[in-house]
Amino acid sequence: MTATTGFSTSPARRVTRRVIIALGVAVLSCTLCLGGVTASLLGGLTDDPTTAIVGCGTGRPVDPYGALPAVAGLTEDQVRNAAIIIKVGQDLKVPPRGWVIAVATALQESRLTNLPHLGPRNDHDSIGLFQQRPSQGWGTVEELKDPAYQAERFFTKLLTIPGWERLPLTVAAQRVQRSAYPNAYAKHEPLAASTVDILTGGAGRAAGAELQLRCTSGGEISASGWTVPVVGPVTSGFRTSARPGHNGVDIAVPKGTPVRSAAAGVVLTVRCNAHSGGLPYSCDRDGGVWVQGCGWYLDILHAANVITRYCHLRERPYVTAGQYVGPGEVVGVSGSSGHSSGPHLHFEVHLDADPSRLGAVDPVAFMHQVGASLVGAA
Amino acid sequence: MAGLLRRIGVRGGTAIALLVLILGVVAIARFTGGGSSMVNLPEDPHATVTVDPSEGDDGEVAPNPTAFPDDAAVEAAAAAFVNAWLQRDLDPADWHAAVAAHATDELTTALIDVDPLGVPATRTTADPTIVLRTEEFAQVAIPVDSGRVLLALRVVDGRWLVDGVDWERA
Repeated sequence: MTATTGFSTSPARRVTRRVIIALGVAVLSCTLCLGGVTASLLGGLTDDPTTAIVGCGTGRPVDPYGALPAVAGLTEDQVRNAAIIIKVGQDLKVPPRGWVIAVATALQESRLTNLPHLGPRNDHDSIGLFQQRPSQGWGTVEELKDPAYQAERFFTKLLTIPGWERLPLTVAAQRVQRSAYPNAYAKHEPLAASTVDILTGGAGRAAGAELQLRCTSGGEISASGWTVPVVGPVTSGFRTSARPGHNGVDIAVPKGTPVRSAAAGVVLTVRCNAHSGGLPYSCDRDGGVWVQGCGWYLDILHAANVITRYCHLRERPYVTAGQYVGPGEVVGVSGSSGHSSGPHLHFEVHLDADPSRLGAVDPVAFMHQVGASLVGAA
Repeated sequence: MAGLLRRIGVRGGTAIALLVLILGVVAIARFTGGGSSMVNLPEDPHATVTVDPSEGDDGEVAPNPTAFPDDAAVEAAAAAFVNAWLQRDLDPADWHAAVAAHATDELTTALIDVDPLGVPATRTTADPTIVLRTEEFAQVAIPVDSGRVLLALRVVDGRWLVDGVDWERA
């Protein structure tokens, strides 16, 4: 060819180009369609609808009277009442942590059912989703028949509590409700969070105190009430082929980094766990790979019988067994005590209140689901 | 570039396109599998045969015991609290004093302003049982006529006190 080659459109080259373009389109559409198939397969692998949620809320207003998605464990009526609560929260510009607190409170007080005044069978005059009492100034009997009014009264009171966004859910709820069972609200946090997730496209996973819905970052608390224990890279995963006995993840952080409770809960155990050659080994100094055990560590019991464990702390944790802690509360500082080759936090998540290795699950997957991703942006 | 394309030809182009297709599918599968972190495909079991099953365990060894010599004291403390708590016909000030005698300061504070008429039960229907126990913490369940009361107890100055009250409707 000549010097004009670069601009020529000879028949042979046109054919080649067309073939390449056609193949390119084919490749693109195939990968897209296979990507879709892969995604739907992955979504279908689990029965729990909440695990399909990957966003952090759409920001669209919830329509309680439109078509509502199913929520496992709740009737359509209960889902509608949850939707009414969330819609009122959105209208009042309450950030999503408030929606979760309100739905959990209504789950405890009425099972999300708009209970009428039960007459002589009732011990007092409580009405509705939040069991509010006309005699205690919550409103007239007529006003309190309306779930939207009930929710508005709940949120109005919640917003008067200083720092409510960072309080354990049950503490915030109790400050509003003043019930004889102050710790009863905590157990509803997981179902309330997944209900909010399903109705809002993942707002339970969003930064809890932010009006503009977005995923958490840098140690923020999610609307579900969870946060990362430390901010740092995961350097060793859960039960990898090289470390099948690794029942948690290692997060690399400099010695002395504050370690935070991943959610509200009660401290179960504070111990030094270190042995070498069959003898106890101090946790107040660095361990090594020849030392066995978790070093200075603590276990925290959360709602729904989830336990989190924090190992290799530099010194005795700052909390004691039996103590309640809030989400993001500092419980100790990271170090390298016990079986550790360098400063890091070893972090475990256990289900069914089983602190043994049989209860351990992958913290990366768990924390992602509750809106406090350990790896990258949620 | 044009010379290169010509040399590759239609067949070569097809081969390259197929290669891109395969790499694309692999990349997509990897991305969706690893990126979502919702699904962890099991590792090839044969890949681990040379590794000790406990290898890499920097977690807890020699776990806590589950039964303790003072279990009876825990159950007695729980029963004393719940009997006071159930007296909802008491004058509010008397009820608060009765309950506070078996509660931590934190629980007493959480119960400020509570109307005893709101206690959602009138009597126990079975003895307390320990649900969860460590050396200094216990969870105790007590069946009541309306459901179940779940108490959290902890040791304060050598004494078991109730620190949390949960109630589940039957």
